Amino acid sequence: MCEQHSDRVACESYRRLSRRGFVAASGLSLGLAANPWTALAETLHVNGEKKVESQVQSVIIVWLQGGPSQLETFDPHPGTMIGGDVKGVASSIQGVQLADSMPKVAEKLHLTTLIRSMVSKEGDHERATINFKTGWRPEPTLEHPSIGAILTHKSNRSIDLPQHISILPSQAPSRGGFLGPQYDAFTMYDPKDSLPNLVGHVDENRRAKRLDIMTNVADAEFQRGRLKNLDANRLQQSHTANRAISMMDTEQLKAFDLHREDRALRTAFGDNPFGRGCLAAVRLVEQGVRCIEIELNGWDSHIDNHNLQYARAKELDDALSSMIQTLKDRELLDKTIVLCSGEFGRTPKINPAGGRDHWPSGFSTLLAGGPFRQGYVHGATNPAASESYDDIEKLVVDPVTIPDLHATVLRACGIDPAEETQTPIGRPIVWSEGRIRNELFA
Amino acid sequence: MSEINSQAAPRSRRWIRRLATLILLFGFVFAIFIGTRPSRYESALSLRQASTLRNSTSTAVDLLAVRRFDEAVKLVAESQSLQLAETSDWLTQCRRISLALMGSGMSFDDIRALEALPERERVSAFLESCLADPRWANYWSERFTRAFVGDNNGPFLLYRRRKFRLWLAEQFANDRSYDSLVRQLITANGLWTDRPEVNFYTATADGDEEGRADPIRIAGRTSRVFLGKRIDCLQCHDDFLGNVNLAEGEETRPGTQADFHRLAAFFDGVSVKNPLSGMVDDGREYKTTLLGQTDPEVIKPKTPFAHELFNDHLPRRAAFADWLTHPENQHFARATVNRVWNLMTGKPLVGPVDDINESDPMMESLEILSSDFVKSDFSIKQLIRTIATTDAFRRESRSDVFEVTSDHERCFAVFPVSRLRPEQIALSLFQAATLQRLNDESNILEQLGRNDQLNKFVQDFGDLGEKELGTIPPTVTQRLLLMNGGVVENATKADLVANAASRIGQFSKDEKDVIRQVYLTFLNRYPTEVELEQLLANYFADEARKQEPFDASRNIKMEVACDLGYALMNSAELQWNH
Repeated sequence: MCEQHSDRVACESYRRLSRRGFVAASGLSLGLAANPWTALAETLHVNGEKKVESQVQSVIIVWLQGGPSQLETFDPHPGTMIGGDVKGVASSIQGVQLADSMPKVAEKLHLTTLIRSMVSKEGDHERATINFKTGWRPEPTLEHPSIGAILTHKSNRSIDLPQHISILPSQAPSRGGFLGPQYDAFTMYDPKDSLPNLVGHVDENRRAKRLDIMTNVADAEFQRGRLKNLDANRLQQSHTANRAISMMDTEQLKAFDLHREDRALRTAFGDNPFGRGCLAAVRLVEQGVRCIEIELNGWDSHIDNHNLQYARAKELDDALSSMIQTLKDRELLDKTIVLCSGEFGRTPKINPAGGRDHWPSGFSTLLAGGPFRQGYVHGATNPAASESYDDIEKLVVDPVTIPDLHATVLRACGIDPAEETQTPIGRPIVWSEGRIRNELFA
Repeated sequence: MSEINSQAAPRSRRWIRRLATLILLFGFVFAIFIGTRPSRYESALSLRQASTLRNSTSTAVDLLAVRRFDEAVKLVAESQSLQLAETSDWLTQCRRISLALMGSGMSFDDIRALEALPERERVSAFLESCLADPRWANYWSERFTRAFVGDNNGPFLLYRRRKFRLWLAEQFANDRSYDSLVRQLITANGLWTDRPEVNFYTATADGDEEGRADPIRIAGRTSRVFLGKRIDCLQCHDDFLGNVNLAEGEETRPGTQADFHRLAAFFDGVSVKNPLSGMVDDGREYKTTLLGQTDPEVIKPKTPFAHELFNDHLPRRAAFADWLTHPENQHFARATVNRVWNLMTGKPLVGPVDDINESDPMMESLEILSSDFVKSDFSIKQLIRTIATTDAFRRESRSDVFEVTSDHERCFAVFPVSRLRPEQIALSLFQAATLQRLNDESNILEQLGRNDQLNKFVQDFGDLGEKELGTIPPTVTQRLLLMNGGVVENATKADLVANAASRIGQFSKDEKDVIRQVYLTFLNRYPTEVELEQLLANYFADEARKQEPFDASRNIKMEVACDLGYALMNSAELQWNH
């Protein structure tokens, strides 16, 4: 809670925290060749002290911004006071229904763990989004890192692409927090469009000439007579330029070229930005990217809830079901965690405008892959179909808090959530204060 | 018939003659108007001269205070056996002023106008023109808005950030005394749409109790921004790390959890009574459960120190505001001076900006400026003038005589090299793309377009929000944005309409002239002889171009300008304060 980066401490901390060790060359090299991603079971070093085995190499977060209604998606209550116009559809788990808005995901449910009893204390979009993405409630003086930032920070993998990518972000994109902005998610939009800032505007020769002038004329003059080793210790001009060029020229960018997949698969994911983003996420997993977040927004249905939710659910259903199946077909599901959720759910009570409002007291999160159980539903909301709104908040069976979820996902990725680290000003802090929910693991 | 025709012809000729006379007369008047209207340089020049003369008595800084400050800094440097750098040239000082007050580098036009003045007058003239420019008030109001209320959207119905910021800009433009401004914030009541200062409270009304300002957040923020003390950790426990000292002078008193909650207790009653009356103080007693206790207890409001300055006959928030801004409450002046110093130089005088360490060697310097700030009736403009007059502000950031170290920077024996904030980099890029000063006189479509691009750039670059006075280390994503993003591309492509680089390339007489003008526009300085030689010999030489395929359509000078402009936009010098 007492946070601000003092310049000196921050510089030292970023040097200490950084795992990149490029040696800047004068002029321009084409950057390091990508290290092939071949490890099947990677042991993650935990500050060099404690090793926690994990097979998980990547995490895909399917982020539903705006608050998807659990009642119109993963936790329908058809025919009850709170059910609205939803009908249920049988899933591949016996006795479990999803809303009829998600028939394809229902068919894949046997590959997933579905938590129906998520709870939090944040009902504001921005605060709840930060809460869910970081596992901590927002604090005025400390910005906690998102899951992707932690995973990237703890990884000793080296690839040309960013290890933390956010596709189609709207508000509150995943940030590095106190780990530093170098762990912020690299943002990009519809994969069919050109990648943001990865394509130059002049030919290579001209680009080389321009950057040569920058390095050998302008930057050389700037460093004259100033702090020793200014570039290496502070400016990072050569390092970032070389890394940028590596990224622009790398073969790994083919992950974004979706035309390398056959048409049937592209159609199955959905011919829309979200569908394309999900397919790109699978291809990025193949390239070794550590965490990819894809956002589908527009779930904030204060008015006309049923139609709005169903419209969104259609896109989600196509893409999510295809993603899980494709990962399984490519033998990546064991090494990849898929997490699908929004920042909260929606009220059981329907308001006079036909909408549902914000509801953090019992909403759904879907997990698939990695060590998570398959074909398991955890928790429940309103199991006895109460007809009273008075105590409906209390009718959550086996609640899972957001810190618990974070602790569990981190553990699944081979990170000890109780491991202590230090913020740049020396405050000791753990990655998560939550409890690992072992009942979610196979 | 022929008689009628012959009469009609002279009449039409008369009308033609009359019309021609009118046109000539109009043209003559127009030519006089244009010929006698002052040129842009002359207008700006006379504005600055008038500004300097008009305000000369009211803008005179206390040179004694400046001398004492300079001495104190010098003593710190000497105690560490550190040499002092030389004074920097006027262009460097003006660039620092421009970055601090407007968020961008200087314009080519401004530099040319200043070159027409005697050198000794240039810095003060430029400073006064910036302080008179509405852009300064707008730019600084955003900086302080982030500190006062953060940069989040806040509760939808209860919060109007833009209104707050515009109100703050007006206060800065009028040089309202800072202590009275803060008192108005602390005691704010009413509708947040009608009384913009109320948004200081409504910004936090989205916590656990809807419609009620969050005393915890306000206490933490008040302490950081107005007292220069981070006490947020005391919300949950006493200080056991030795981080929070709440004693006065040389003594030490570790902060306690009770200190935090006694401060929060001043703000607990602020809530929305009804939509018509807005925020009022309902007098609710503050309750919390301290560590080790099982039940909540009532906590009475109490200031953390300097109790002798507290007037308990006033209502609680008024009493707190009065105590906070008391001329003898050193912490208030110090916290403000430290923040303004940070905005002027890129680094606080005593770091961190919102957690002043009283044992820091630079404390005496800070006290000198703080006393002067109080004497000036808490005038922010006067504080800026004073800072710009100090040796520390005017010093070079390099030395050819001694090796520069971090120790030199910490005590301002050299001017520190610090990363510009994202909006400063964006504004500097926009400024470098045009020869005129960016201002609000451009048409509304241009402004809207620029604001959109600015917001997008800052978002993509990575905005630190209310923590913007911290350090932003360079990242690869930022590098890609600068190398390949739209802002730099528009500023350095061959387009006479779009950017200054192309115009320089088109109208300069030769490559040498191009290089000089591009350096002036982008980096606000002339190239050194070494740079000029290198560029002409290695990159823009005729010999080099002879190797390339001949293309009659190539505009060589424009290419030189665009290539050089791109290189300078991506260089460290444009992105760092120095």
